[in-house]
Amino acid sequence: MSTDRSWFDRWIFDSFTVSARGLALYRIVVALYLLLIIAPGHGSYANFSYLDSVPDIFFYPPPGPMQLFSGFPGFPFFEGLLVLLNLSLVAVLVGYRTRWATLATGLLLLVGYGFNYSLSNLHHNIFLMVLPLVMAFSNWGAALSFDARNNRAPRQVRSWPLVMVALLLGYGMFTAGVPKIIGGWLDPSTYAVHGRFLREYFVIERHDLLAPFFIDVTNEVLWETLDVATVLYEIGFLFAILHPFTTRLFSVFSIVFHTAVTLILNIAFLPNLIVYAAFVPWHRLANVLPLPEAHATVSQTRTTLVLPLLVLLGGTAFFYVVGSPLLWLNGTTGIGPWLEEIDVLAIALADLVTVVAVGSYLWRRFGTQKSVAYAQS
Amino acid sequence: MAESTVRHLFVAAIIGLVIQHGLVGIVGLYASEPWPAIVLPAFKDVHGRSGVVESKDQHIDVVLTDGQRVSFERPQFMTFMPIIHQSVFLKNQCQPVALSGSEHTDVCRRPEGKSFFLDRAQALFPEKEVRSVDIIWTRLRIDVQTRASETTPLDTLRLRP
Repeated sequence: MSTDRSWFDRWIFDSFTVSARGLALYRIVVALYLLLIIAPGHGSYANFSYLDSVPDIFFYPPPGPMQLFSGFPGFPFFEGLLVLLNLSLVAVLVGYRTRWATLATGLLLLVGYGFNYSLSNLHHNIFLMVLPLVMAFSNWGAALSFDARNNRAPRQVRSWPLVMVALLLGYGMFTAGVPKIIGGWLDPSTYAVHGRFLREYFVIERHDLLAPFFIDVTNEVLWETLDVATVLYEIGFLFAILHPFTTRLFSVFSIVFHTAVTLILNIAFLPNLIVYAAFVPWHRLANVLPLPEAHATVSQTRTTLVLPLLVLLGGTAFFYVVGSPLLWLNGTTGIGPWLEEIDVLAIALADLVTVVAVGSYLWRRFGTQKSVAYAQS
Repeated sequence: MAESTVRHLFVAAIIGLVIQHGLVGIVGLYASEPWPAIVLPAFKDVHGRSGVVESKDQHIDVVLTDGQRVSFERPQFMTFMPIIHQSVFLKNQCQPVALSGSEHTDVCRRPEGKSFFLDRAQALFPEKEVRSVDIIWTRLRIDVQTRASETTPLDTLRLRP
């Protein structure tokens, strides 16, 4: 780390430690998350094909580039988009032409959701697209990939995309927090989280998980505390991104926040979970796992075109035709229709990763000190 | 990518985000929220402590030529669209003008829109003839303490062949 850099440069280039294998692990996790949880073409999160049956009269694009179109494209367009999306995700998973595949993933999602949101309802899952578009520049295909086996990927990995993701995420949180302040969330004479909860419970009829237990909780201090805590968390995120520790701390808060919202309000907001995972110190995990070297040595045989082609075609065909096997869990426990089993699974996985990451940090920070002190005594 | 390029990229991103903040606010006043944009959900509404929850709701009646009227919950009828889109779609495109106060919310009444809904209704009753599809707007009022609910009809968007 250079000491004569400006603060701005140190923030951009030195905030996060990355390694080729650590970034590769995160790349694989992102691709699996998108293929298995978001499940393009199969799950309820990235389902575009139904739009081909909607008359163009209902095409109601939000202000922006979608207004360049005059209607919904036909069935072949959406099916082609889903084939390409699954292909690009499988290519990201196995690390084949990784940068291009990652960029293609982000762009294809932008196009698909662009049409989806032209039916008059816009969801705020932009980070599902931002993540690949930014992480493509981290060179996360430098290890555990066909690119690495063929020595096609540059060896140098970059950490600044993580800072860019943090910047955009912090700003995104800020855009959620400011309207809450203007709307009166901090006014003790109003209630926001409780009001939202009552509406979700009685009007939308979200009655799953812990919702029935919280419906009788009328403690005003608790509900007002939740209002204030939500605003502080969302506004505070923008300042938290200035340091990697606080970025990680607020990412942990985010997982706690989404878990609580899922359990109580039965609203699962899955797109951002995989974004918070960017700040897990994957390089530490990569150090303890028995992973192959980042790059093949020159003497190793290069992988021919046949193997990658078979993997790409096989993987794409599987995920396009069959879809995520995890979706088979949906409908097995009787929750819903607003919450699906796969939502709960995603939240549970995020909680597990968080507990392991926080536990590992605490052990490094305090457990090892205790061990040293014990040995010295 | 050279460090100076990355530095410029960050400066551009920070300036861009500030500009976007203003643009989203201004455009949002006159139209809907722009897309794509770096924005997360605000849920800015707050509620008084009245102990009452109120909401506009919709359900769909299919009226057959034999006089029969069959009521559907929104998700039962609108299976052609993910459940998450249905309510906002009806609010923006199938809401009586008198109720919304906007001239653009009854797109469903146009010939293509009418046919779309009537065709779906006809598919549900292949043996019978559909006279109309009624999108019925109501006000739902729930007393949180007693859990008693009251539904008041507000307006109906009637789609006839």
